[in-house]
Amino acid sequence: MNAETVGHPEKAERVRAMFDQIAPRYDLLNHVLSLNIDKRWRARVTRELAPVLSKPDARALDLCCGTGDLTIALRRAFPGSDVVGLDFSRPMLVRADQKSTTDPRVSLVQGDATRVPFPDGGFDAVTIAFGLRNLTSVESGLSEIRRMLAPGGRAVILEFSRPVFPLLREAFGFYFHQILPRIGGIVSGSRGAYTYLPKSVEEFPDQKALSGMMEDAGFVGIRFRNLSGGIAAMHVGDRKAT
Amino acid sequence: MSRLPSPIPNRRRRLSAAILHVIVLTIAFLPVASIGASPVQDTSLKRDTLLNGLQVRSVRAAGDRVSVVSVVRAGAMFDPAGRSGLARMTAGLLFAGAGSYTGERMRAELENAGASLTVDTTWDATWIEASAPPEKLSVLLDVVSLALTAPKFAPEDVAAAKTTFAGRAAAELDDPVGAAERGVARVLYGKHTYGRAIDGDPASITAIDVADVKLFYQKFYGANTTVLSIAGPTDPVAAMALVKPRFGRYLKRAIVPATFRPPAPVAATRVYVVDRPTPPGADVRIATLVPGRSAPTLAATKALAPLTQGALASKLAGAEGLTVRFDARALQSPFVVGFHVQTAGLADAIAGVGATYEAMRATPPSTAGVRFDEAPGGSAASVARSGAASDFYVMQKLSPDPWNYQVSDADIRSASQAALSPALTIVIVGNSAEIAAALKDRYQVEPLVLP
Repeated sequence: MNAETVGHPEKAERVRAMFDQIAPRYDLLNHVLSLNIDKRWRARVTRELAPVLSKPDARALDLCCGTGDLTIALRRAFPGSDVVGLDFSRPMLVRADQKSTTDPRVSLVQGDATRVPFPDGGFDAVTIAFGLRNLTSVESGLSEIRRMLAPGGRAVILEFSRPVFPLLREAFGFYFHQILPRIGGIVSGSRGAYTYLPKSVEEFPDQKALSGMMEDAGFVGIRFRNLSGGIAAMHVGDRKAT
Repeated sequence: MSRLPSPIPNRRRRLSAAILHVIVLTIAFLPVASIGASPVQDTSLKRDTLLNGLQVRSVRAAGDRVSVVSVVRAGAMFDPAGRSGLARMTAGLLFAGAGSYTGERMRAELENAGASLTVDTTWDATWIEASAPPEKLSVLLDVVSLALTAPKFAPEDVAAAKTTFAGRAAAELDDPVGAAERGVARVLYGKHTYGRAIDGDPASITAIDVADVKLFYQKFYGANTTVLSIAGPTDPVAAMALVKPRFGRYLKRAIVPATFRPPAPVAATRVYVVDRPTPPGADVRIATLVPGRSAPTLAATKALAPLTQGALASKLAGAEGLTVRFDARALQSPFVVGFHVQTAGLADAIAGVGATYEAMRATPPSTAGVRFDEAPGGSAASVARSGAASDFYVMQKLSPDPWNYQVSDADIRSASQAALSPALTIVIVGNSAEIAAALKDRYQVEPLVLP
């Protein structure tokens, strides 16, 4: 028995089923519930990746790509690059495919972000936006991200985090726990998914702790930036250039 | 269309917009959200189960320190054959370095916070108990969460632990009291896992390697096999908010059931002697097997131990250090009388126990005056411990209600029949020749060799 993987399929299946269910209205809800701030957050991610993706034929991997918003944003920001989007929810990938169907340099792959079917060091950049907390093991996810980075490559993690200002924290907490599950439930038909969201964010490591975990996973040059007062945070880490 | 330059920096403008949006939405939905809220909420206790299955309880309690107790279903009953001591060693190694903290840093963080920490492994579970001034709760949770979720188990730390454990096991075997305890477990349980020692023996400790420790951790340390309890002069809601980001990474595991075959019932009295020629006198353990934690007679058997000790005290005049204990476990558990006696008085002492048991079976003691020291309440540490134990034993289906202290005379009668059985298991540590001579007309003795 491989004890390390025990219990994982249960969470993975639950999360997959949840995303399958909300896929049809995922984009609409994301933009409404995040007040469209998510677009700005993704723009920050692409800016961080300019040093590694501006070169010709650079390769980027967008883990937990969902309906492909960041995957497509990366392609638009770096026209000379190839971008692979990976997600384990097929309905999400179908929507991503519909949005990127005319772009031959976007590839979409169904798979598990903790066991990615790509060789070591194959990408100049790896991103994961709002997906790390859904993985069965954050450590395994970070380890996979580092494994797939080429020496000198860069990882950017975008994830919900802890608002740093008390007033914002209180207001956001109320919005996240009381309002978001109601709207999300009505529009998507799955209140469970939008109850899961705040709970999963609460139980995710905060900015400093995630930085520590990245350090443990072997990243260098780790830094984070709070976005919109810490509602989200962008963590950046590099693989050491040999 | 041209854009006018903003009088405030771009970043600040976006942040203000985000705050404004959130506040507007919050106010807009306030009446709707309030409908579902319960009008009366208990603010002194907060319970939650994290997405990974970790059960957390946080309760306000009097005192000047906050106590954090974690109970993990990682007891010594899961020690693999030939690796006894592994559960306790694994528990000790949790604090030898975890995550980005070295062992030194973990100790320094706790010391600087004025914290205390104890780690203990029983047959059923591993207990981690830490306490500190309430303003240092986050430090406690930092260290404990790292220990539980990301221990390193560095080879050099495992090697150092092996040396310590092997030395401790050897010393315990040399000590007559330790030998008596190990001997009675061995005879009562035979090859059953309870027949080994929680601390292991020198051979089993030597056989443990880093892979064993890691595998034990991966099998038994899981969010859904752990209960976390916090008690102290702190806001339970705020404490819960500190717990979630630290323990959300704790992995969920498959729960390994305790499916060991129960030991064979004891049909007749047996006497075993562990030869230790040097010390004068004999260390004696007289044991019976009684039902474990899930039995309805749990509380009655607990009550019976001090009642039996009181009855024996007047009968065993020559015995020193008399104790009677019921060591409640998940499976069948030992009810043990222990004492030291001069060899010349050995036969009378054993007969005295047999006669007392017989009298108590015929006329079981009354429940009047029964008191339980373990009842919940008291200090923050006690509240945290009892809360953790309560949730843990129920969650793990080890006891339907561990704090049920309603004991009737009928319960005591029933417990007496099991615990004060005429079929006794007796282990004596001392000079075997002298002991055999002292008992020759009354008991058949068998030698017992401990590893």
